[in-house]
Amino acid sequence: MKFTPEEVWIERGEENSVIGRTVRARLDGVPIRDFAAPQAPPPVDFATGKRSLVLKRHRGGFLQHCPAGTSGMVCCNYLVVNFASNCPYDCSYCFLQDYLASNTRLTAFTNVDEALAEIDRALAGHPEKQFRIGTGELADSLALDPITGLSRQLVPFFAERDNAVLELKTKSDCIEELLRLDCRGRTVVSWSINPEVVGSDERGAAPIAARLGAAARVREHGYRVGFHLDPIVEHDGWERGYGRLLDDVFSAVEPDDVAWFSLGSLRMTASLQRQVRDRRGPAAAQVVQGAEVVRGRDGKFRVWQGLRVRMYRFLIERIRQRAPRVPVYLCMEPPAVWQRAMREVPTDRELGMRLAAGARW
Amino acid sequence: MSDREFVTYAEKRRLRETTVARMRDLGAESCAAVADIAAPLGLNDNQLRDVLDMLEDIAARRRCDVAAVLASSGLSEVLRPDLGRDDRVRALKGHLRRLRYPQLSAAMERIDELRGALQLPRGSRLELPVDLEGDEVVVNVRASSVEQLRSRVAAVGQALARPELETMFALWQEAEE
Repeated sequence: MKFTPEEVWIERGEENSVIGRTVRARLDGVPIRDFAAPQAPPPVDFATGKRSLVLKRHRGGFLQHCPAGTSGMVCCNYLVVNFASNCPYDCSYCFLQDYLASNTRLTAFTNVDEALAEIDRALAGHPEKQFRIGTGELADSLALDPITGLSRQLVPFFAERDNAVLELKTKSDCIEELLRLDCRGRTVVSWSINPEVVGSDERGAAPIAARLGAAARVREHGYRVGFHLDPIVEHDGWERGYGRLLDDVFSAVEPDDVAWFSLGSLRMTASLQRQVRDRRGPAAAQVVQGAEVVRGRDGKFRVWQGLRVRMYRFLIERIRQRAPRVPVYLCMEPPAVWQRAMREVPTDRELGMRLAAGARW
Repeated sequence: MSDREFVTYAEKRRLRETTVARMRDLGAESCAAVADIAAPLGLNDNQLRDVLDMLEDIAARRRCDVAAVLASSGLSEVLRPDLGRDDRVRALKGHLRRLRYPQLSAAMERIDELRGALQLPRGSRLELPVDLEGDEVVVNVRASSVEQLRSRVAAVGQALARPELETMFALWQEAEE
């Protein structure tokens, strides 16, 4: 499912960056305009921002600690690097519609070499540590790959490093570039998955069968795969839906192919919850809007805790029946929920090491 | 309710343009069905928006339109004519909330039963977090003398030894009985 923007804006001076050249070559016929930094293309609303593509340099550091590791939550010591901002898909529940409300344009950063140099310094500075680094926080890791070819720069870079694993997290089936690369076991390709019925809330993303088909194909080409059941969306019939989803996962891949499963319940700020509710027309939220989410003491909306724990337990049990050795972890949950759902509360370090080990063949 | 009657109600209750537009976005049948409830109760703009929030969420949950939600909601039994306006509005909101949060409502009702079965002494209360979302319960004991406090705390201790407490915690923390 290749995304084609209606127009491309390129920062002056970046036309001949690797990304600039690749995009221009692959989007022949798409109008290209330029702009001079610090000017930016004119602001547009969130939906419009997804239909064009901006290519520009990223100013500031690339590598960050995952913001999910906020205080009070069990953290998996994950690092994120943003090569893009926003996403061509339009999931009703996406936090980006809130987080990027004043910076809506879908953007790919052109100074990839600087990002890789920064990552290289971090890895070389701590050879004793095992890093897990993902690119899917502010963007889908692969949705733009057919037009930017970014994975051709990232996968070989990580293939040459012993103390890091790259995670490409996606809702796409854009894996063609990956199939031409040798990751040497240093890249995990992971999919955010939900039952088919939730697909109506994930506009533009690949259907779940296509995601699982893509997982099977990359696995044949030497990649380990991961699955993020996140956000888990409570709905009428969720046990049946998620049970079938896991059946489909294990029909597509063998348990030993899987680096990890993460589980994260639907969570929304009050502002995001209002935006989800206010969506109208074809973009209207569907299943997500009916989930039994309540406002917690921190002001965020989540499925109420008891039901959340029950859902986690159901999923963990189903996963462990089929894949007892594959690491399973919860995302953005406090120790109390870990204890009830997982019957353990690992330290951040323990969890990080467990997942790093899971990434290895 | 006819469109003219809806317009009259909207003007009388000074509904905001955005609320009226939201009603119309529901479609003619659903708009009329909501107005059939809202107008006799004289819902103001805030009340109507709260009701619309819940109705739209329920419709999303059931994957149907708002008219279908209202047709099958059993609301006519809840909005008893012998109740005053405020009680009927309260009953409407309570009923919609049960439809909006079926599992949470069932758990809370069962927890209320279990709390009753604990037979906590007079002057004491066991409070769970709002919407069962939180990590702590609060036990509140009121007393006006040392003897009364000792006696009530002892009675609370006995009440909390009952097995219903474990069941209550399991429902609250794990949604399982």
